[in-house]
Amino acid sequence: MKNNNVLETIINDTENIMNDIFLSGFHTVQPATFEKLEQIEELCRKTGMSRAEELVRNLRDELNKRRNSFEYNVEAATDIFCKLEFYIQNAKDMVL
Amino acid sequence: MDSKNSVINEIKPFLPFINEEFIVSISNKGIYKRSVKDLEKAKENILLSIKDAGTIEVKIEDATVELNVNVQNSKCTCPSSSICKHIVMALLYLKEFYDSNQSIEEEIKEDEKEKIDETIFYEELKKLTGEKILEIVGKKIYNSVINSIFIRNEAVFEYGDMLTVTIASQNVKVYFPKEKSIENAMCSCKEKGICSHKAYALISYLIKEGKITEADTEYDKIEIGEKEREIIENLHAFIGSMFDRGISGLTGNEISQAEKFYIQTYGIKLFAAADELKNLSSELGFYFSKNISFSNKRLMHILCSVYNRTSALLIIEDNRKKLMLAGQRQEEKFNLDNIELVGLGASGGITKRNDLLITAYFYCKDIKNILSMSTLRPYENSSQLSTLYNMGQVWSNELSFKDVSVSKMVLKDAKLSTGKVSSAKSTICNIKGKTTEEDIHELVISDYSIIVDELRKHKFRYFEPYSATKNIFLIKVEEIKNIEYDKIEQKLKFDSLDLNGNTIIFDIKYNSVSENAIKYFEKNKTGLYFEYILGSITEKNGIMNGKFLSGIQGGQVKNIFF
Repeated sequence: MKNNNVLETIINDTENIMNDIFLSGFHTVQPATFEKLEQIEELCRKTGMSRAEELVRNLRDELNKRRNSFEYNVEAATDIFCKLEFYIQNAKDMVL
Repeated sequence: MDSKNSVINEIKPFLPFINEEFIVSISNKGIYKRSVKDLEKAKENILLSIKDAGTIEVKIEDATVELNVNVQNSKCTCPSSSICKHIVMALLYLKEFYDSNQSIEEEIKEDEKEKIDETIFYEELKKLTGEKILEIVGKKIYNSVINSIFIRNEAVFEYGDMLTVTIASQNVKVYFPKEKSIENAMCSCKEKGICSHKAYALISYLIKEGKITEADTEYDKIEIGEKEREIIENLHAFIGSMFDRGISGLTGNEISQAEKFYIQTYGIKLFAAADELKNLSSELGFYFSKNISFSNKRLMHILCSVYNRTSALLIIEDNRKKLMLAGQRQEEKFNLDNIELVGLGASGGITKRNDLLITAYFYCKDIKNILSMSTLRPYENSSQLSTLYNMGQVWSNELSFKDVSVSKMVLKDAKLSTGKVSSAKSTICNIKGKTTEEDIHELVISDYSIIVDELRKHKFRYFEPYSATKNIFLIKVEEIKNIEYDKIEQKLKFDSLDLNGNTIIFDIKYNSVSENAIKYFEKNKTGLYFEYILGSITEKNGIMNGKFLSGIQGGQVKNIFF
């Protein structure tokens, strides 16, 4: 039950943070959002959600590139974002 | 006049068609009776001659009839454009002429009788294949008819002078003569070409012969070539740019771009992606018009779903999976000529946009699914509810939600999409009485634990189209208890129990529309109200919650919202 609560928290938090990113766009992600993504990544690592951890980390990296690098590729960021949404929707079906 | 023998020989192919039932079916009873009567007076002056093979010219009264073996192609010089009394009289005369001159042929006939080999008949039908019918009727009708037949095959085959196929619910008969069976086939709908009934009869024949199976509906092969790849890549770039700018950076041009991609994806037969793009366009419309229906979560999901679906299509090799991802054209899903519906009640509510909503629920016996039908009006006051409920507005016979929600019926030309039946005026409804306990028997769930399994079936179906009725169930109630009005949540709550003690916690949220339903429960807080309840049920961690929609009491549907 406790584990389920952690999973629910991760799922809901990830969904909310993705929603925030979608509202602002990849080009203006707030520093607080990066921090939140880092926290989720850490939580995923601790609970053994390795796929989610990888996707969240990749998303964070791509969004970071949008702020600080010329290497940013919008298609790569979109691809990761959509994959994460797919993962979360299915995880929701499993847990909720 | 030609020699009697040659005339007799030419008449023979016509004989199977000269019977009252067939003639009435291609003309009508009145013309038939009139023709029988007039023939008595006119038969002295009738002239028969052979024009071409298969065509006999008959001069009758003031008209000249050219009788063709395909009777519907017969012509008359009178002004009538369809089968007139002269054609019918000419046919009847042929029979009389044949009978009275039969003696000449009798000897030959006796010899021939022994030689008749029944197996040579219906050669055209025997050679018929699914591919040939597909070529004749086109893919749309072909798939739709197969779909319809596999749900319920209504064709009854009767071999006699002709092969008669009766399709009872459509009230038609299709006749296939022994020779040139398809070319000279006739339908009582009077259409000369291959009508939908002939297509139904032919496909049904092939299914009977085992030449068509259910899998034959899937003829499409999804090929992702250069053109498709380019469209998908452009679509991905469009979605990417929307994600990059975010909702706050949208300009309004996205609506027309989404529509453009809708047309393109539809053109390359990615119907499910096209449907999603249509939804994307309307969701963006809601956003720009500041409509309360707008949901940013839904918009995000639509974008991700289109992206994931099309990405998968680019890499998947298996055609069946590709077909699933590509989806079907809307009208190919269900295009049933006749379906049976059983009314399960109706509920009322107020939407987020402050519209008054009435939804009626039905059980469709043919597709074994619950369907819904809704109507909306801008909400002004609570008295509107009963007006809207009693208003005649559904289908061609303008029935009310009150009528249809408690009755069983047969619908002709029903339009169905996922979980919904349209109230379109082109649909004809024939009410067959009130819904009874017997009608709902196969639908009722007595053991609530089944519901959990059913709900879980819909899980992990990311690409499954949204269905309004996938969590609606009709449950058997053993006991209702703990009826209580929660003043904080403003909801009436009660527990419904099955035989094994499994519980569903139902609620009815208070608003001016649900007042009647809440009062109904509050009147008596003990005792059994309903034998069955229709509810929208959700499950979380094994706990089931339900939204009350309607109930069945004393074997009759009771709509307590109205």
